[in-house]
Amino acid sequence: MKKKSMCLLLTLVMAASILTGCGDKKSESTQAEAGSSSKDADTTQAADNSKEDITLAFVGPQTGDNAEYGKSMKTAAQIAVDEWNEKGGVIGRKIKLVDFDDANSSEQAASIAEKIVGDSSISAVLGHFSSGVGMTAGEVYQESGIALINGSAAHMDFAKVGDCIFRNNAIYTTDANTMLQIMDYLGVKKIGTINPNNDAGVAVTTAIQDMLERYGDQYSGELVLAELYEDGTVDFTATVAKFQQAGVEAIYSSGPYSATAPFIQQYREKDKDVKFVMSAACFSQEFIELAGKDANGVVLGTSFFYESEDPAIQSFAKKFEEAYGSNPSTFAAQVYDATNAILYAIEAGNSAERADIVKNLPNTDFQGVTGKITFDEEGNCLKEQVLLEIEDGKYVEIPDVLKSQADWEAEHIK
Amino acid sequence: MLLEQILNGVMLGMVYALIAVGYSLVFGILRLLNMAHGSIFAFGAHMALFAVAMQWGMPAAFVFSILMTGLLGMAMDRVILAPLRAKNAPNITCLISVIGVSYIIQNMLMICFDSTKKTFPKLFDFGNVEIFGVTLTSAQIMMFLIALVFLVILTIIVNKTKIGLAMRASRENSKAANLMGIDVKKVVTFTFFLSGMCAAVAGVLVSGYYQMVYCTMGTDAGLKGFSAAVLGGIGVLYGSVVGGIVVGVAEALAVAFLGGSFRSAIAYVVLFLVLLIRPSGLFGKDNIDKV
Repeated sequence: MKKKSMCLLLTLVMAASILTGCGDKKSESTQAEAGSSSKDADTTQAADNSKEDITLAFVGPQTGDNAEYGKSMKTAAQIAVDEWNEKGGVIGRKIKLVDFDDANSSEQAASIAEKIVGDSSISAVLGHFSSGVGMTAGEVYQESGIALINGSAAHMDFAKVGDCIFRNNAIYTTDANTMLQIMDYLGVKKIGTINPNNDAGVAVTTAIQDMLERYGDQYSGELVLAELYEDGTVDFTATVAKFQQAGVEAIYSSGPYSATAPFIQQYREKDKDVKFVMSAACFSQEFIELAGKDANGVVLGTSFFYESEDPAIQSFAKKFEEAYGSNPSTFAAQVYDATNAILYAIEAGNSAERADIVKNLPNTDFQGVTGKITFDEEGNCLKEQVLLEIEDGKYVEIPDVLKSQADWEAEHIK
Repeated sequence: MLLEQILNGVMLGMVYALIAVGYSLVFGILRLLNMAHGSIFAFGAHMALFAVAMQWGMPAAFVFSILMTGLLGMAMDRVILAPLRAKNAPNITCLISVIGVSYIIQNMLMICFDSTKKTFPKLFDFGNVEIFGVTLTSAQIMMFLIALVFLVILTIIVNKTKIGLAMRASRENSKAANLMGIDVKKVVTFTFFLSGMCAAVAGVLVSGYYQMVYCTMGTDAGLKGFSAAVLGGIGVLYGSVVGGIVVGVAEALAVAFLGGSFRSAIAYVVLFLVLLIRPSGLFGKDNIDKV
């Protein structure tokens, strides 16, 4: 009897491992395929003119807390690739997207980056989610001269890793300015901030403090309490009490929606009047689902809004909705533009060589769904943001409130 | 401010206490650290989520979750631990096995339910209550009361019922208990069922309190619950409650006076300090370990 049950257990465990094994094998086989095609490319050479597919890599969290971001960014990249393939590809070759899961962890991202640079068939890399994770992997890409365009990192130093590293997202300095403009618009005096205690969270807190130090007299708000929290925190009651004690009227949170949603819920239970200002990380349907009715009234700045009348945005939003089942987030849209930027660079240089892509990316100039896509000397794309408010579980645009940082500076700093 | 933070800590402590009793129950009888308890807690929450998604209603979801999770605890004992005990396997073998089980459960949840955070309905919402100038939410108060009632019921089961007597007898000396006609195997299985039920009750209450469910919810909470059990003296039920509250209050005060980044560090510093002074925990009996 005991032996029987033991046997049964072992069989079950084996069956389970086979099942889970299958899931992994799929991605392994695509990687193996990519690997074998690279060997072919090496032997037949004539890299540019060969009719081999051009391979782009997408890396992002497909599991873990930030999986939704990773999956939606991957969908967006795939949409861009499919659009080019429908038009016949780029420089006469089809484009293929291979994806890797870094679970938004620096350790995994570094080993995936090594894998990517070692696979000579991959021409350029898209993605990575958090700044810190992307910067760890970025060192590896920079060293081997392959381009990375990210659509979600906001750390000021992200693109400073090197000339191969680009990003299509608002940097924290811009976010800080946007946030302070929103606070002015809301007419609040006492501001609190809550950010995760990681590279990104510390950087945004510093950016806000710098901004206030430099231009403090230009804003009506004042930062009274800047809080950090451990990644993975779900109980914010103690932090909420601290904010209440400090008498803040509005809170800014830059963290992912999975942490921001419980924070808002626990705050709303104690205080119905406090105002919440979020970053683009909370511009996602999942945020509204998780936060429920407490999401109403939240405002945020984003470089992308799917209800814009621009036909390109409408077309992208429709395709995304069909593929993913919800409206695209800012990060997804920014990765879509980033994918296009790489493909334009390949077209401009008539080459899918890694070095040629890196050389041509700084000349990028096109109108994307997240505004005009150009890169400055560091590799940052300046973003203009619009103000959104959540009303009855929907994002609604409040036009003509936010100014681009350049316009704001021109107006306020003489 | 101080009082409010202490009360916040007490509420959080009840979450840990609910998880801690599960560790204590099993350890009390088997001298085994059930490291899978955190995952079983997450399993309980997901079962309730499943029932809610099937629109069976909250009471049915609660019962369904308790039964399924109790059965999971029982199955774990029958299929894995009982054969190991029958072969007189050392305790460390059992410990490694349950750690393995913990990962199997967690990954199964990830495969079946996705790895994202999912929303869970709020259990209680009838406004806030003010006590000594401190505002407490209905969710906090109800969770505190239900946890308290549940822990009292558990204590009564262990101390006043026949099966409880059998459990305590098996704890003192399982061979002698066997000779006295107690079916120790059944008692052990029942203990696992009970510990699974505890995990489910904790899972549903905590999910309703934070309004969300996710696969890894047992990792951090499980570790804190375990610390609470050790702090209060593992194997002693009311010790788990006191331990949980101490850990919870330490966390809340750390956040209040040092900032959110010190939350876990301070909780463990308190744990060390208590264990330095009382190595067997606040209410633990001396020389409890006869492994």
